[in-house]
Amino acid sequence: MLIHCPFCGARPSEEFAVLGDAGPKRPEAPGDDTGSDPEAWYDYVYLRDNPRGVHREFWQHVGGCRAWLVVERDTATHEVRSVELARKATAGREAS
Amino acid sequence: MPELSAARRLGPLAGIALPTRVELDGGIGIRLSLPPAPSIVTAEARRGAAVEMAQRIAERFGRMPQPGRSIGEATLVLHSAPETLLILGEGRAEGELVAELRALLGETASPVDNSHGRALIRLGGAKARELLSFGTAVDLAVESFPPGACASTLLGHIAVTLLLRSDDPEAGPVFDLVVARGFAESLWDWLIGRARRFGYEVTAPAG
Ligand SMILES: [Zn+2]
Repeated sequence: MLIHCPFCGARPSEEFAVLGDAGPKRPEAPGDDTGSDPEAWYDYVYLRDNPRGVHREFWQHVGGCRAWLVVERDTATHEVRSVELARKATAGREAS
Repeated sequence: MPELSAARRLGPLAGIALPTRVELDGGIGIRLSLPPAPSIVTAEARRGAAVEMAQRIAERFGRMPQPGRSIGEATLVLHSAPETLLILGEGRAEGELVAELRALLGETASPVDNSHGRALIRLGGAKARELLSFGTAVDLAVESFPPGACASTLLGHIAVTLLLRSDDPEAGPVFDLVVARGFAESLWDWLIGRARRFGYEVTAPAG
């Protein structure tokens, strides 16, 4: 499987480390004035979808430029649909 | 001003990379050498300061190198990762290069002196590209990897930064390999293992 790193170009997947689902968003911290929902934390820490098909995942180009990436790939065919720097993909998430 | 002599570092391959010549059919395809250990500095732009860091690099070195490219001679600036530079300095006194870069980059980046943490191996010869292709998937064809190009990759499962210094039609290409100090001996063994099939020469470090 080849991953097109936005900085380095096409590289074999052996150069990358996978973290997993790029979807989960960290809930509010316990003790925040906003309060924290234990269910939301349980979901964030333990529960993951395991789809057959398109999946957005965090990968790190650890054997290359070391950048974190968001890779959209098909878990059934390994077809990579898009790759972007995680810092771009998640920009503005904190504000939302 | 006191006269500063260039730092002389005993690299991790001292006593290991010994001069030798192993011919194959009367010739050699690979040349390996250890240049005097350069000063090595990494600098990553602080959050939101990448544009200003690039401007300061351009003021001092003429321009900011494109991603995967390098500029300079005695001081080489490699754009080796997003918003990150690897800077190699020849013949500099201990700590001089990092101090210069701290002054130049100011609040835009945090230069870190890696001179004692990385080793540099020079690999040349007509078969140098062939040898590297045993260990990395980086496309080293001259159209996509011309002189000045650099890439961080795995070479035989060891993380390295590759730099093509020059490419002479007769002498062949000359690559520099920057590797973490603790992996230098493993990488050296790997290189020698591959070099045997081409014939190789190891030349003594200068000085
Ligand atoms: Zn990369």
